[in-house]
Amino acid sequence: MKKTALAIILLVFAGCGSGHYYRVEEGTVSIYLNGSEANLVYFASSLDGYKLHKAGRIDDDTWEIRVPSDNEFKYFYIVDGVVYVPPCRMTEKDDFGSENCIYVPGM
Amino acid sequence: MKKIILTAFVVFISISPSFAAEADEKLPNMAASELKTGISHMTRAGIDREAATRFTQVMLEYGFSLENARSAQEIVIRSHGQGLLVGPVMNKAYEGMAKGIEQENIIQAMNNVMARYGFASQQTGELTQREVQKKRIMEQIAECVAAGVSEYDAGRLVYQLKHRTQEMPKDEADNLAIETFRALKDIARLRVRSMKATDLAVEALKHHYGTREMTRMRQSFMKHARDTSPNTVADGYFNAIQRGNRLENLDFLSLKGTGKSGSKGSSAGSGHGATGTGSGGSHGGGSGSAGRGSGGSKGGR
Repeated sequence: MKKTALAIILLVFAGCGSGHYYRVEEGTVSIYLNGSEANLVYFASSLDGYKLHKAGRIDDDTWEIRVPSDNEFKYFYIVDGVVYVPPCRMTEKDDFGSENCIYVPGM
Repeated sequence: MKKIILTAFVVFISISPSFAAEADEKLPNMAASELKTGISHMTRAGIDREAATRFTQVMLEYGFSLENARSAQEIVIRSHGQGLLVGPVMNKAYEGMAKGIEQENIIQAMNNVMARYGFASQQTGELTQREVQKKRIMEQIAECVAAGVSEYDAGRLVYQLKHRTQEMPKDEADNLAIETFRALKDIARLRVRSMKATDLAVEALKHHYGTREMTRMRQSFMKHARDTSPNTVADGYFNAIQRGNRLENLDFLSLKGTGKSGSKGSSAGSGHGATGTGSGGSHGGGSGSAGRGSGGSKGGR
């Protein structure tokens, strides 16, 4: 069951072109995640002790979250109740057998 | 069931921004006495009372047993007692809870973070005794290890830094240490292998790179690693520095053509963004670890 859930999450985000990207504008970084099959996407980061923030759906395929861009932070998603770490440029080990993505300003 | 628990946690987190102020009253009676004592110990150890209370209350809401909640409090107290940073230790607990990780594995992860910072503190002691700078260097070293740098390699770099900064004024020496480990951290975060990333930083120090040159190297590395395998860039930088070449004179078009592959392929960098930097892409698929996976599930309360 767990494996099935994980596989579904991976399928949801597999083959989605860039899949995961961000845009920085005026002190804010907008982080986008493609996933048309997902119903509920939360974003958690080290900026505020990993509180969960609901991502907004901006079109059929894209989820968006906006956070301050001034400081470095680590982050991941909860997609339909399952942790999801998208492909990302910079990562660290998370001490739970997986990784976190890292956003570094200007990088 | 697990989804319900996670949802409950989400609701709890989102509706409770101000709960710390009334936290003492909200602690369950059974747990109140021991955990309040734990909060008092945390506060006496110098940890902000509101932070200590919130930390304890979130653990209880998550379903931590009294024993595990006390263990978590103790780890924070011990970290503080050893002069380590407690923020990363507490944040690891919050991260674990957000991921739905089983409480015992959260405790283990907190211990890992404490050990990492303990190692970093010990290494930092070789470089400086100035408190503010010590914390900054400690943080960089610990984050290097989290990014995949081995303790052996971190120790090698400390040794080289110690040698390099012997004759330097303290400010200059501390700034060089901070910037050197920052460079190593960011390069390691791009999945450059520990030994290769450390060799590069050591070589830069051997060639008398100062703080400014180290900063430039890091920024330049990040730029070049957008469209070339980071491991290949590391090789190119290492060879250039070893030959005494300036990094800005490196021919990265020829470097890309060498066909050396990195550990995980090249970074795509999607280039989105009006004014900003593109990210994402590259490095294979994302991982869907999950509280239910690697770290073990949280299980019932």
